[in-house]
Amino acid sequence: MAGLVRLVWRLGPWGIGFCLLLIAFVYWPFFTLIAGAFKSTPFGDGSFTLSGFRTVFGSAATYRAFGVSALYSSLVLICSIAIGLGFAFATARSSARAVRFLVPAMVLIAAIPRLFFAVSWGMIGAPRSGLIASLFRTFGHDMPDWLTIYSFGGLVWVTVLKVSAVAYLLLLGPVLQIDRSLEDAAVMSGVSRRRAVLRISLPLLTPALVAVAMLMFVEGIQVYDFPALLAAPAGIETLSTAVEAYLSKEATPQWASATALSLVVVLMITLLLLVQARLVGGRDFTSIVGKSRQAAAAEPSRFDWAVSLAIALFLTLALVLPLTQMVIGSLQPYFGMYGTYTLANYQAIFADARQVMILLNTLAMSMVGGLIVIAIAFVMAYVDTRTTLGGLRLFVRVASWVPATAPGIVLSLAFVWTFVSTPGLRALYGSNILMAIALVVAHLPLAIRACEGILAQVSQELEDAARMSAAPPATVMLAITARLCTPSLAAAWVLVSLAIAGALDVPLLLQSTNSQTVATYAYSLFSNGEVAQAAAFFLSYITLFLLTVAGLYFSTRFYAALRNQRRIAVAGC
Amino acid sequence: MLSPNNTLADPSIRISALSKSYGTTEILKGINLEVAAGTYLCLLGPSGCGKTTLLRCIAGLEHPSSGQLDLQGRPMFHEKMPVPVPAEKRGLGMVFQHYALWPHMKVFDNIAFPMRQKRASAAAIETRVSDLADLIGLRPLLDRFPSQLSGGQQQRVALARALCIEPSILLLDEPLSNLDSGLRNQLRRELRNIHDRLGMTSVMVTHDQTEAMALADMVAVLHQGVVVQYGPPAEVLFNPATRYVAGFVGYDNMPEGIVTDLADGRVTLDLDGARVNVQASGRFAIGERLAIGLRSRDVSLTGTPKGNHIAATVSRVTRLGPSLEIEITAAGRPLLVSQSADGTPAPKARDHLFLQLPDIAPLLR
Repeated sequence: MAGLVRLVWRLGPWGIGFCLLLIAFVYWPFFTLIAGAFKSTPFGDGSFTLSGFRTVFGSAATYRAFGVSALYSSLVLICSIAIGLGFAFATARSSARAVRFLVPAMVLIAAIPRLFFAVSWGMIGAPRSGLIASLFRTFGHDMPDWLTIYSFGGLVWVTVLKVSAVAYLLLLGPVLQIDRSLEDAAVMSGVSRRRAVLRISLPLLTPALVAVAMLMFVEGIQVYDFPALLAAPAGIETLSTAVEAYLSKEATPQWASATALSLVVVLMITLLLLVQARLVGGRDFTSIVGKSRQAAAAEPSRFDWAVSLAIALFLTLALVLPLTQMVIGSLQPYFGMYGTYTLANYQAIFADARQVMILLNTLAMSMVGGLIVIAIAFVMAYVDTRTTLGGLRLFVRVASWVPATAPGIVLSLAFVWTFVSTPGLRALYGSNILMAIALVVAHLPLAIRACEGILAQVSQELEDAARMSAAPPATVMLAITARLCTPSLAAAWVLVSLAIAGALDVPLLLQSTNSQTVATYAYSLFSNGEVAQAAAFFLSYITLFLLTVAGLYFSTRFYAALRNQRRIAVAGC
Repeated sequence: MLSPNNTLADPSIRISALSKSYGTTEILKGINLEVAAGTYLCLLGPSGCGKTTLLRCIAGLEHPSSGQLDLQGRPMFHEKMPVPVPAEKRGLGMVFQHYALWPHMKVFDNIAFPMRQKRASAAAIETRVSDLADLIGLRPLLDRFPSQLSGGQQQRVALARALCIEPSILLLDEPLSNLDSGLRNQLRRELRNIHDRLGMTSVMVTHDQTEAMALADMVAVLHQGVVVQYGPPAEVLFNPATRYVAGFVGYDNMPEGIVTDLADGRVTLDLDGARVNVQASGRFAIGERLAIGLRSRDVSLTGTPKGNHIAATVSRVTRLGPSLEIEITAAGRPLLVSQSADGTPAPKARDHLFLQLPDIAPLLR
């Protein structure tokens, strides 16, 4: 009891408010989800039932979805780590000219929303009207059926293209960190360079590889947009689309079954994350990424052309082709009509007040939501690394991982349960605010991991110096640490905002007709066959987003220049 | 022996039975220290001895596990306190090893930061910062960013920032260790000057014994979380309390012997047959086993014996810049002699000579 009093005393009103916020929006939805798995419906008086679990465990579809998800995740993780690791080594070691494009291109691929890829590759590989099909036609053939993107193979292919960039960015730090002298020592002991890489450097990378592999696997189980767009039309269900299928594909929504399956998935991912934490000794892979040493200059090799070719091929498939297809597709009057181009799709968007509202609403929601995500994530990461209160650290750390255990679709289900069953909050159901809250919580884990890396760059001594200068803790955090992290935090904000706008799974259950987002609207266009409009809509949003970011960037630059000028004027007089 | 015998009436810093552990590792084991106001105290010891932890406990950046800490008569930490006084409310100044200047603020803003926390008026800040700039010689640098300054300049800014709110206690965590030797000597003199002019209590952590001896009024030598000696520099230097302290302040030979005779503050020892008679302070008993602290540069080799001496055989001679390091065997054990390399002919290996000992030497238990 005395301990609790002491804790409350040290937290202060702000600390307590923050903890309550986490309890309400991070912990509470998960409790309602667990409770919900034993209820028939969130609406009205649901009765206690085990029918959800009975249906889920009694249905062959569940096991099939499990098998598909496991196979899909494994294939994606193996391929993407192989590609990501290969390109990371190329960046660190190769003198090939194309290497310099890797980092910016990979950041771009990782930042572009998945839905964009799914839509774009859905167009490229579509059976009759796609780019590939039209290529076949120009040579007087029909595209063979097995080449269609709407298949398990197509699903894996598109996912690997996108996820390899993420694997690359996560592995680049550890690869650059490898101490070359260890490898050199092996070479001087009479081993070839290639064997030294295999025998010395790869084992050194094991913790990073295991951590990234686990993350990829979990990501594979959670991902919704790729399977929903590319596999579901072919009748293939993964775990995350299966949850959604219980709610939308049955005559009446099967809340108990959907929630029970969600709970199973959450438990599975929790287990995987615990195993990961155990395997890497509780170390997050970001802690392996640190300040990179100046790498030794790469030696020209006779395989440089092959490295360049591989990079060119990958970037064409993962970046140039999807972007080109998106632009071409948005200019076609009807998808698949090559040769005639028109701006009619764009004109239609901007002539329709409702579509313009969706664009602007999403822009506002993703920008403000992104800002809130970064603010909360920064505070959580800060508390996690700096607090001396063990209980508080545990509370925050668990809160930082809890949303990571839920696929977006499950998270949105948890929020449905919470908002419908909590009196007072029910009024928010179907509103933009509810959707924004869910989107913020869904993107917290990613942002917290990013903030941990950013915080690691600020020396503790700078904060100690501020405390010794009589600055209270909040001032230390805001005036020193946050201020020093501002450029990195701003970059993280842009990425998180883009991810929020592109998230399809979280808003799916929470939207109503007047609270659609760009992602859900583009998805509905796409699944209704209005593919050209979907492309135009998506591109309009990205353009709007980039213009806003550029506008913000230049106005802050202008303001900074103005302020400097004023200072000089003051100093002069 | 470990703390001054008579407790001070009104100490600036009073530390009693202070301990600190991380998990099962004990870093500080019951530290007792009283520091009079206006003292320049050096916490001296090798890395890992706990001196920085002790300083951070005084600062409030870390809190002890047990014990008590009072600053200026105000309790800062004791076990029954619900919450120790946090660092920002202790009113101390601190200089860090790596300067810790905020890179996004100009020199002026760095120095003014502590005053701004106290909501001082702009005019008062302006006056104070410009006074400090004159005191420390920073005036032309006020409008620059820290990254545009040299290491010495940065440490001066850090010092000005620490002095900004006129703290009654200034803490310095190895402030000179990042500077090259010329600059270090200059800044060392300035530190002492400023301390004398402003009259505060200063506590400095260092591992460099010459720095401690040159600066401090009092030196506390730490070893494995314990204060092994606390006294003025001369006492630590000429009368080290333990063999560990003696080794740390430069006694590189400590041959052991047995006390055979005591008379008028002089002690006679038997070093495996060789008799040595030195003046030493402290109480000893006949038959006790003691080591004589001998600095290699305070002993010399001669061809003819006079006064205190032992027969010695040269085993190796090494030239170290302007001096010779001579390894000898005397009284059955290896010893080191350091000798200037100018003029006098250098001894050669297997020469039989006499090791001349000083008349006064510390005896160590």
